[in-house]
Amino acid sequence: MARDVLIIEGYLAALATRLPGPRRARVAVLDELRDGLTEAAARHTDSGSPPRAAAEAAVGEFGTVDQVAAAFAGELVTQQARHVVTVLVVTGPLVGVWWLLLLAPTSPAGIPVLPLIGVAVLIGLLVLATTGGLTRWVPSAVPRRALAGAAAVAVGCMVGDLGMLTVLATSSDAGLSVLAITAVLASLIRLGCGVHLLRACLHAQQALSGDDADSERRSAG
Amino acid sequence: MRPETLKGHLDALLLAVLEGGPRHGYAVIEAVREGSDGTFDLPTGTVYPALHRLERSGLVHSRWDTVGGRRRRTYEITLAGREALKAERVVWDTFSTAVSALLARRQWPATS
Repeated sequence: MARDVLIIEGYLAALATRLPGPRRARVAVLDELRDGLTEAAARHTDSGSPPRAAAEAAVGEFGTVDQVAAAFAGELVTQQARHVVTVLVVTGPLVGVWWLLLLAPTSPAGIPVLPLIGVAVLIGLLVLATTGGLTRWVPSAVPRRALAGAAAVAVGCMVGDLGMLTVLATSSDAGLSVLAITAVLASLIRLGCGVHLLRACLHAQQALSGDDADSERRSAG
Repeated sequence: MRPETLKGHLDALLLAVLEGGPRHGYAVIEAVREGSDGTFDLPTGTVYPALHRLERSGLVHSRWDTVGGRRRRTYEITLAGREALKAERVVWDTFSTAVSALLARRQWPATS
Protein backbone atom coordinates (compact mmCIF):
# COMPACT_ATOMS: atom_id res chain seq x y z
CA MET A 1 0.00 0.00 0.00
CA ALA A 2 1.36 3.43 -0.93
CA ARG A 3 2.52 5.62 1.95
CA ASP A 4 -0.13 8.31 1.30
CA VAL A 5 -2.90 5.68 1.39
CA LEU A 6 -1.42 4.28 4.62
CA ILE A 7 -1.58 7.71 6.24
CA ILE A 8 -5.27 8.09 5.39
CA GLU A 9 -6.14 4.50 6.33
CA GLY A 10 -4.22 4.82 9.61
CA TYR A 11 -6.22 7.93 10.48
CA LEU A 12 -9.51 6.19 9.64
CA ALA A 13 -8.51 3.07 11.62
CA ALA A 14 -7.79 5.22 14.69
CA LEU A 15 -11.12 6.98 14.24
CA ALA A 16 -12.98 3.66 13.81
CA THR A 17 -12.04 2.63 17.36
CA ARG A 18 -13.59 5.84 18.72
CA LEU A 19 -16.95 5.90 16.92
CA PRO A 20 -20.09 4.66 18.69
CA GLY A 21 -23.34 3.73 16.97
CA PRO A 22 -24.75 1.08 14.65
CA ARG A 23 -22.16 -0.72 12.54
CA ARG A 24 -23.73 0.34 9.24
CA ALA A 25 -23.68 4.01 10.29
CA ARG A 26 -20.03 3.79 11.37
CA VAL A 27 -19.01 2.14 8.08
CA ALA A 28 -20.88 4.88 6.18
CA VAL A 29 -19.04 7.59 8.15
CA LEU A 30 -15.65 6.03 7.45
CA ASP A 31 -16.43 5.55 3.74
CA GLU A 32 -17.55 9.16 3.46
CA LEU A 33 -14.48 10.49 5.26
CA ARG A 34 -12.21 8.27 3.13
CA ASP A 35 -13.69 9.84 0.01
CA GLY A 36 -13.30 13.35 1.44
CA LEU A 37 -9.71 12.74 2.58
CA THR A 38 -8.78 11.30 -0.82
CA GLU A 39 -10.36 14.30 -2.50
CA ALA A 40 -8.52 16.71 -0.18
CA ALA A 41 -5.21 14.92 -0.77
CA ALA A 42 -5.77 15.09 -4.54
CA ARG A 43 -6.22 18.87 -4.29
CA HIS A 44 -2.95 19.20 -2.41
CA THR A 45 -1.23 17.00 -5.00
CA ASP A 46 -2.64 19.19 -7.78
CA SER A 47 -1.13 22.19 -5.98
CA GLY A 48 2.30 20.58 -6.22
CA SER A 49 2.62 18.65 -2.95
CA PRO A 50 4.21 15.19 -3.07
CA PRO A 51 1.69 12.40 -2.29
CA ARG A 52 2.85 11.79 1.29
CA ALA A 53 2.79 15.48 2.21
CA ALA A 54 -0.58 15.82 0.48
CA ALA A 55 -2.06 12.97 2.57
CA GLU A 56 -0.63 14.48 5.76
CA ALA A 57 -2.07 17.89 4.85
CA ALA A 58 -5.49 16.32 4.14
CA VAL A 59 -5.50 14.55 7.51
CA GLY A 60 -4.45 17.79 9.23
CA GLU A 61 -7.25 19.65 7.47
CA PHE A 62 -9.86 17.17 8.71
CA GLY A 63 -8.95 17.65 12.39
CA THR A 64 -7.54 15.36 15.04
CA VAL A 65 -9.12 11.97 15.70
CA ASP A 66 -10.35 13.35 19.05
CA GLN A 67 -12.02 16.34 17.38
CA VAL A 68 -13.74 14.29 14.69
CA ALA A 69 -14.82 11.53 17.10
CA ALA A 70 -16.28 14.15 19.45
CA ALA A 71 -18.10 15.86 16.56
CA PHE A 72 -19.67 12.58 15.42
CA ALA A 73 -20.51 11.22 18.89
CA GLY A 74 -23.84 13.00 19.32
CA GLU A 75 -25.07 12.17 15.83
CA LEU A 76 -24.06 8.51 15.98
CA VAL A 77 -25.50 8.09 19.49
CA THR A 78 -28.78 9.53 18.22
CA GLN A 79 -28.68 7.08 15.31
CA GLN A 80 -28.02 4.28 17.81
CA ALA A 81 -31.09 5.31 19.81
CA ARG A 82 -33.24 5.36 16.67
CA HIS A 83 -31.88 1.97 15.61
CA VAL A 84 -32.70 0.37 18.99
CA VAL A 85 -36.22 1.80 19.05
CA THR A 86 -36.93 0.92 15.41
CA VAL A 87 -35.83 -2.70 15.86
CA LEU A 88 -37.98 -3.12 18.99
CA VAL A 89 -41.04 -1.31 17.64
CA VAL A 90 -40.95 -3.22 14.35
CA THR A 91 -40.35 -6.65 15.91
CA GLY A 92 -42.71 -6.05 18.85
CA PRO A 93 -45.88 -7.22 17.08
CA LEU A 94 -44.03 -10.34 15.86
CA VAL A 95 -43.58 -11.36 19.50
CA GLY A 96 -46.84 -10.00 20.90
CA VAL A 97 -49.11 -11.69 18.37
CA TRP A 98 -48.18 -15.20 19.63
CA TRP A 99 -48.87 -14.28 23.26
CA LEU A 100 -52.18 -12.69 22.28
CA LEU A 101 -53.22 -15.82 20.37
CA LEU A 102 -52.09 -18.05 23.24
CA LEU A 103 -53.35 -16.24 26.34
CA ALA A 104 -55.86 -13.71 25.16
CA PRO A 105 -57.48 -14.87 21.93
CA THR A 106 -60.68 -12.93 22.65
CA SER A 107 -59.60 -10.18 25.04
CA PRO A 108 -56.17 -8.66 25.88
CA ALA A 109 -56.99 -9.02 29.61
CA GLY A 110 -54.82 -12.14 29.71
CA ILE A 111 -51.71 -10.08 28.98
CA PRO A 112 -50.76 -8.43 32.30
CA VAL A 113 -47.74 -6.63 30.80
CA LEU A 114 -49.85 -4.78 28.24
CA PRO A 115 -49.70 -1.41 30.09
CA LEU A 116 -45.90 -1.74 30.32
CA ILE A 117 -45.64 -2.47 26.60
CA GLY A 118 -47.94 0.48 25.91
CA VAL A 119 -45.64 2.81 27.84
CA ALA A 120 -42.58 1.38 26.05
CA VAL A 121 -44.23 1.96 22.67
CA LEU A 122 -45.11 5.54 23.66
CA ILE A 123 -41.54 6.26 24.75
CA GLY A 124 -40.26 4.68 21.53
CA LEU A 125 -42.53 6.84 19.38
CA LEU A 126 -41.44 9.90 21.35
CA VAL A 127 -37.78 9.06 20.70
CA LEU A 128 -38.44 8.63 16.97
CA ALA A 129 -40.48 11.85 16.80
CA THR A 130 -37.86 13.96 18.58
CA THR A 131 -34.90 12.64 16.57
CA GLY A 132 -36.33 12.44 13.05
CA GLY A 133 -38.07 14.54 10.42
CA LEU A 134 -40.65 15.78 12.93
CA THR A 135 -37.94 17.88 14.60
CA ARG A 136 -38.85 20.56 12.08
CA TRP A 137 -41.95 21.08 14.24
CA VAL A 138 -41.16 19.55 17.64
CA PRO A 139 -38.09 20.14 19.83
CA SER A 140 -35.31 17.67 19.15
CA ALA A 141 -34.03 15.39 21.91
CA VAL A 142 -30.42 15.70 22.99
CA PRO A 143 -28.47 12.48 22.25
CA ARG A 144 -28.20 11.49 25.92
CA ARG A 145 -31.97 11.73 26.40
CA ALA A 146 -32.72 9.87 23.16
CA LEU A 147 -30.39 7.10 24.27
CA ALA A 148 -31.99 6.93 27.72
CA GLY A 149 -35.40 6.63 26.04
CA ALA A 150 -34.15 3.83 23.78
CA ALA A 151 -32.66 1.97 26.75
CA ALA A 152 -35.98 2.34 28.60
CA VAL A 153 -37.82 0.82 25.62
CA ALA A 154 -35.36 -2.10 25.56
CA VAL A 155 -35.74 -2.70 29.30
CA GLY A 156 -39.54 -2.42 29.01
CA CYS A 157 -39.63 -5.06 26.26
CA MET A 158 -37.33 -7.39 28.21
CA VAL A 159 -39.37 -7.03 31.40
CA GLY A 160 -42.49 -7.66 29.31
CA ASP A 161 -41.00 -10.84 27.87
CA LEU A 162 -39.87 -12.08 31.29
CA GLY A 163 -43.33 -11.28 32.66
CA MET A 164 -45.06 -13.30 29.94
CA LEU A 165 -42.69 -16.23 30.38
CA THR A 166 -43.44 -16.16 34.13
CA VAL A 167 -47.20 -16.04 33.47
CA LEU A 168 -46.89 -19.09 31.24
CA ALA A 169 -44.63 -20.99 33.64
CA THR A 170 -47.00 -20.44 36.57
CA SER A 171 -50.19 -21.03 34.59
CA SER A 172 -51.94 -24.20 35.70
CA ASP A 173 -53.52 -24.91 32.30
CA ALA A 174 -50.39 -24.21 30.26
CA GLY A 175 -49.79 -26.94 27.71
CA LEU A 176 -46.93 -27.59 25.35
CA SER A 177 -48.73 -26.45 22.23
CA VAL A 178 -47.03 -25.26 19.05
CA LEU A 179 -48.40 -21.80 19.84
CA ALA A 180 -46.85 -21.84 23.34
CA ILE A 181 -43.46 -22.98 22.02
CA THR A 182 -43.55 -20.29 19.31
CA ALA A 183 -44.43 -17.57 21.84
CA VAL A 184 -41.67 -18.70 24.23
CA LEU A 185 -39.11 -18.87 21.41
CA ALA A 186 -40.13 -15.42 20.14
CA SER A 187 -39.70 -13.93 23.62
CA LEU A 188 -36.37 -15.70 24.19
CA ILE A 189 -35.04 -14.40 20.87
CA ARG A 190 -36.18 -10.89 21.74
CA LEU A 191 -34.60 -11.15 25.18
CA GLY A 192 -31.29 -11.98 23.49
CA CYS A 193 -31.86 -9.13 21.07
CA GLY A 194 -32.69 -6.82 24.01
CA VAL A 195 -29.44 -7.68 25.79
CA HIS A 196 -27.49 -6.95 22.59
CA LEU A 197 -29.30 -3.63 22.08
CA LEU A 198 -28.80 -2.61 25.72
CA ARG A 199 -25.08 -3.30 25.42
CA ALA A 200 -25.03 -1.13 22.30
CA CYS A 201 -26.74 1.65 24.30
CA LEU A 202 -24.18 1.28 27.09
CA HIS A 203 -21.30 1.47 24.62
CA ALA A 204 -22.82 4.59 23.05
CA GLN A 205 -23.30 6.11 26.51
CA GLN A 206 -19.62 5.51 27.29
CA ALA A 207 -18.66 7.31 24.07
CA LEU A 208 -20.70 10.33 25.18
CA SER A 209 -19.15 10.23 28.67
CA GLY A 210 -15.66 10.01 27.16
CA ASP A 211 -16.33 13.06 25.02
CA ASP A 212 -17.68 14.96 28.03
CA ALA A 213 -14.46 14.14 29.90
CA ASP A 214 -12.36 15.24 26.90
CA SER A 215 -14.29 18.54 26.74
CA GLU A 216 -13.72 19.14 30.45
CA ARG A 217 -10.00 18.42 30.06
CA ARG A 218 -9.79 20.85 27.13
CA SER A 219 -11.67 23.51 29.13
CA ALA A 220 -9.37 23.01 32.12
CA GLY A 221 -6.34 23.18 29.85
CA MET B 1 -12.95 32.19 13.63
CA ARG B 2 -13.85 30.04 16.62
CA PRO B 3 -16.21 27.14 15.86
CA GLU B 4 -18.56 28.36 18.63
CA THR B 5 -19.19 31.56 16.63
CA LEU B 6 -20.73 29.51 13.85
CA LYS B 7 -22.97 27.57 16.19
CA GLY B 8 -26.58 27.95 15.13
CA HIS B 9 -25.67 29.18 11.65
CA LEU B 10 -23.83 26.20 10.19
CA ASP B 11 -27.01 24.40 9.09
CA ALA B 12 -28.17 27.44 7.10
CA LEU B 13 -24.73 27.82 5.48
CA LEU B 14 -24.72 24.17 4.39
CA LEU B 15 -28.26 24.47 3.03
CA ALA B 16 -27.28 27.65 1.15
CA VAL B 17 -24.39 25.82 -0.53
CA LEU B 18 -26.65 22.91 -1.49
CA GLU B 19 -29.26 25.29 -2.88
CA GLY B 20 -27.01 25.56 -5.95
CA GLY B 21 -27.20 21.83 -6.65
CA PRO B 22 -26.13 18.43 -5.30
CA ARG B 23 -22.57 18.12 -3.93
CA HIS B 24 -20.58 15.54 -2.03
CA GLY B 25 -19.65 16.27 1.58
CA TYR B 26 -16.12 17.54 1.00
CA ALA B 27 -17.31 19.82 -1.83
CA VAL B 28 -19.99 21.30 0.46
CA ILE B 29 -17.46 22.02 3.21
CA GLU B 30 -14.94 23.45 0.74
CA ALA B 31 -17.65 25.73 -0.67
CA VAL B 32 -18.36 27.08 2.83
CA ARG B 33 -14.63 27.68 3.36
CA GLU B 34 -14.08 29.31 -0.03
CA GLY B 35 -17.38 31.22 0.03
CA SER B 36 -16.35 32.84 3.31
CA ASP B 37 -12.83 33.64 2.00
CA GLY B 38 -11.44 31.25 4.60
CA THR B 39 -13.19 32.95 7.54
CA PHE B 40 -15.14 29.76 8.32
CA ASP B 41 -12.18 27.40 8.37
CA LEU B 42 -13.44 24.57 10.58
CA PRO B 43 -11.74 21.17 10.79
CA THR B 44 -13.35 19.47 7.79
CA GLY B 45 -14.13 16.22 9.60
CA THR B 46 -16.20 18.03 12.22
CA VAL B 47 -18.66 19.46 9.66
CA TYR B 48 -19.88 16.13 8.25
CA PRO B 49 -22.08 15.38 11.31
CA ALA B 50 -24.05 18.56 10.56
CA LEU B 51 -24.86 17.19 7.09
CA HIS B 52 -26.02 13.93 8.70
CA ARG B 53 -28.19 15.86 11.15
CA LEU B 54 -29.76 17.80 8.28
CA GLU B 55 -30.56 14.52 6.54
CA ARG B 56 -32.11 13.08 9.70
CA SER B 57 -34.33 16.18 9.90
CA GLY B 58 -35.39 15.73 6.28
CA LEU B 59 -33.80 18.99 5.09
CA VAL B 60 -31.38 17.21 2.75
CA HIS B 61 -31.23 13.71 1.37
CA SER B 62 -28.23 11.75 0.21
CA ARG B 63 -27.40 9.01 -2.24
CA TRP B 64 -24.34 6.81 -2.61
CA ASP B 65 -22.38 6.41 -5.84
CA THR B 66 -19.07 4.79 -6.66
CA VAL B 67 -16.40 7.17 -7.96
CA GLY B 68 -12.89 5.96 -8.74
CA GLY B 69 -13.53 2.75 -6.76
CA ARG B 70 -14.58 4.73 -3.67
CA ARG B 71 -18.06 5.10 -2.20
CA ARG B 72 -19.20 8.70 -2.43
CA ARG B 73 -22.16 10.27 -0.65
CA THR B 74 -23.84 13.12 -2.48
CA TYR B 75 -26.25 15.49 -0.75
CA GLU B 76 -29.21 17.32 -2.22
CA ILE B 77 -31.47 19.90 -0.60
CA THR B 78 -35.13 18.86 -0.19
CA LEU B 79 -38.23 21.03 -0.53
CA ALA B 80 -38.41 21.22 3.28
CA GLY B 81 -34.74 22.28 3.25
CA ARG B 82 -35.49 25.12 0.82
CA GLU B 83 -38.33 26.30 3.04
CA ALA B 84 -36.13 26.13 6.14
CA LEU B 85 -33.42 28.13 4.34
CA LYS B 86 -35.93 30.77 3.31
CA ALA B 87 -37.06 31.10 6.94
CA GLU B 88 -33.44 31.25 8.14
CA ARG B 89 -32.71 34.09 5.70
CA VAL B 90 -35.58 36.16 7.08
CA VAL B 91 -34.40 35.57 10.65
CA TRP B 92 -30.81 36.40 9.73
CA ASP B 93 -31.77 39.61 7.88
CA THR B 94 -33.71 40.85 10.90
CA PHE B 95 -30.97 39.83 13.33
CA SER B 96 -28.05 41.24 11.32
CA THR B 97 -29.85 44.52 10.63
CA ALA B 98 -30.53 44.96 14.36
CA VAL B 99 -26.97 44.04 15.40
CA SER B 100 -25.42 46.26 12.72
CA ALA B 101 -27.54 49.19 13.86
CA LEU B 102 -26.44 48.73 17.47
CA LEU B 103 -22.78 48.12 16.68
CA ALA B 104 -22.52 51.14 14.37
CA ARG B 105 -19.91 53.59 15.67
CA ARG B 106 -22.09 56.44 16.82
CA GLN B 107 -22.66 58.19 20.11
CA TRP B 108 -25.80 57.30 22.07
CA PRO B 109 -27.36 60.21 24.01
CA ALA B 110 -27.23 59.84 27.79
CA THR B 111 -30.68 59.47 29.39
CA SER B 112 -29.86 60.89 32.83
